[in-house]
Amino acid sequence: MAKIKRQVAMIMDLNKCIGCQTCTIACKTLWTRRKGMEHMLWNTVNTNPGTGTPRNYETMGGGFKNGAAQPGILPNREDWGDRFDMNYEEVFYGGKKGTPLSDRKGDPKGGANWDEDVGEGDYPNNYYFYLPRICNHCTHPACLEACPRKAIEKREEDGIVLINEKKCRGYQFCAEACPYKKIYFNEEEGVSQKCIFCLPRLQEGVANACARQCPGRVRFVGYLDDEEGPIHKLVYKHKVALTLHPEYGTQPNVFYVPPMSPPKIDADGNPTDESRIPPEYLEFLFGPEVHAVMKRVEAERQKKMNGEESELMDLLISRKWQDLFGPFSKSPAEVERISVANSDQSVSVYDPAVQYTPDNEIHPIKFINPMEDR
Amino acid sequence: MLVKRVTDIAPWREPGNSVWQGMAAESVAMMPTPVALQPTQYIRVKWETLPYGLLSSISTGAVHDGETIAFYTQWQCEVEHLKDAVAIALPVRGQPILMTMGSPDAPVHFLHWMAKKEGVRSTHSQGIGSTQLGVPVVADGAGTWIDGQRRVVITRQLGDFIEAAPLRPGTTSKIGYAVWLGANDERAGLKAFSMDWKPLEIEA
Repeated sequence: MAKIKRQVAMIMDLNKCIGCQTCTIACKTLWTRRKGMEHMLWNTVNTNPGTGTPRNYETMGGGFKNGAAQPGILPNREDWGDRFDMNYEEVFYGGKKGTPLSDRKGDPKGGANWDEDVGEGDYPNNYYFYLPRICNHCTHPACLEACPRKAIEKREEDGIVLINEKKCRGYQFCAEACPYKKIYFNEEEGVSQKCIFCLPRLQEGVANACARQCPGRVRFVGYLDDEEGPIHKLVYKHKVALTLHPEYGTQPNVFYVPPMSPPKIDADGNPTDESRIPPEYLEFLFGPEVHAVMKRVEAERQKKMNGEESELMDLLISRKWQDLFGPFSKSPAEVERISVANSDQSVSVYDPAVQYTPDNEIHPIKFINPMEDR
Repeated sequence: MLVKRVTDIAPWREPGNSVWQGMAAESVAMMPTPVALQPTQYIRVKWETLPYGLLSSISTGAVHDGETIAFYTQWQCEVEHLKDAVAIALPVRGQPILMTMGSPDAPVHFLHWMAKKEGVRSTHSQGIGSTQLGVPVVADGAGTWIDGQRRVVITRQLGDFIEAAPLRPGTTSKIGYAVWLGANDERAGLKAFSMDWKPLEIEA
């Protein structure tokens, strides 16, 4: 693996995620519309505590322990939850009043985020929060190391991990080895596929679709080494962003600001000193550092409540939306919809029909010469 | 293995055709590829204690009609699986070592049949982990599964090709085999293979 010059990263502030799945849909409509990708959700948002997507992924192994590769299990289509094949034609065009919308294959037994909003605990102290996940574009990618075809690359320029579909033979060792189970298999094309961190957008200065379309301003994007950017400040300066399951040993480059919790309330309805989300559960997800992180965020929150300045809270509040995206704050409209009619320059426009390969850096951008198009 | 000349290759293209059953099949001993030779640490760790490549032998045969050569393989396969596969290996030039799948100076050409795909794939290897798509050759493949037996016929045009093994009537080449049992999740280097080359004598 080549030495990485820079690393792009993402931080998701779990205090702001409302589980609306706008990120999921933004990704789905942009990247996974080809045949064989129907079941793919490169971005998922799950209720936690919960089984996750794929179901029970945290029990499927992979990753590294003391630097040694660990065996993993390959999730099957049931674990992922397949696309539902709904009877839209019958409902909307069948002409029969009262036809219920249903899955043509019968009652589904599972799906992504199947246990939505179940959570844990008993009323009034039940709890849950949302955990969005994408490929972590790890510094030590288990997928890359497992592939016998050397089909997975970690880009020197930005640390994005890509599968070269020309080299991939669909063996799926990568999907077994990834402890986060974020690699899907395209049965039609016989290749593994996963989140590409919206590389073509980043190359145009546009933030990832999941980040840009998030109505909750949950996601920060930028370079880890950009000391003026939000990523560096949250990870290294304020030390409030942690990786998911650091014990998996892959060193993810997607970080999380852990969720604060309302207090438990006692039998009389009065708040107690106990957190409703058990700290041990957060430790299970984010490692032992999470306790210090929670204290830091709580202290800064208190400062703000006292009317004092807090750079951390200002960063997390993100009053200015574009500040979330560091050097990738350009509007996609500037890239996708440059006024072709008024230009004599070739422009790049989004085209989902262009098939992505790492050798083809313009996916899903195609170039249009307006002079020829007229 | 003697590759007999036949007048009509058509029935020999069919793996279920009784012509193959009437032929004296040659048994080839198989063994698992060593786990130490698996190309990544992940595969070595995962499969260190798992059984694979346990097929001890396959039945083989071959005929030609002067233009096309047909390679027959048959093996015990309790569970039919879409990932069942067989490959024949042929030396392109030099003296390649079969176990290490050749070298840059002595590459190996493979014709790879998989139950889930039609036809065969031509691949080219210069060593373990280096397999690339091979030159296009006129080749085909067909398989059946009946009563716990996989039968596959792989055909290829005779003659000389760049980066494919030369196969001409009246000459002797070499052949190797690899079999993957899909039901056991065998793929890539997880397979049974014939330990060394077998002589392939093509009748004039």
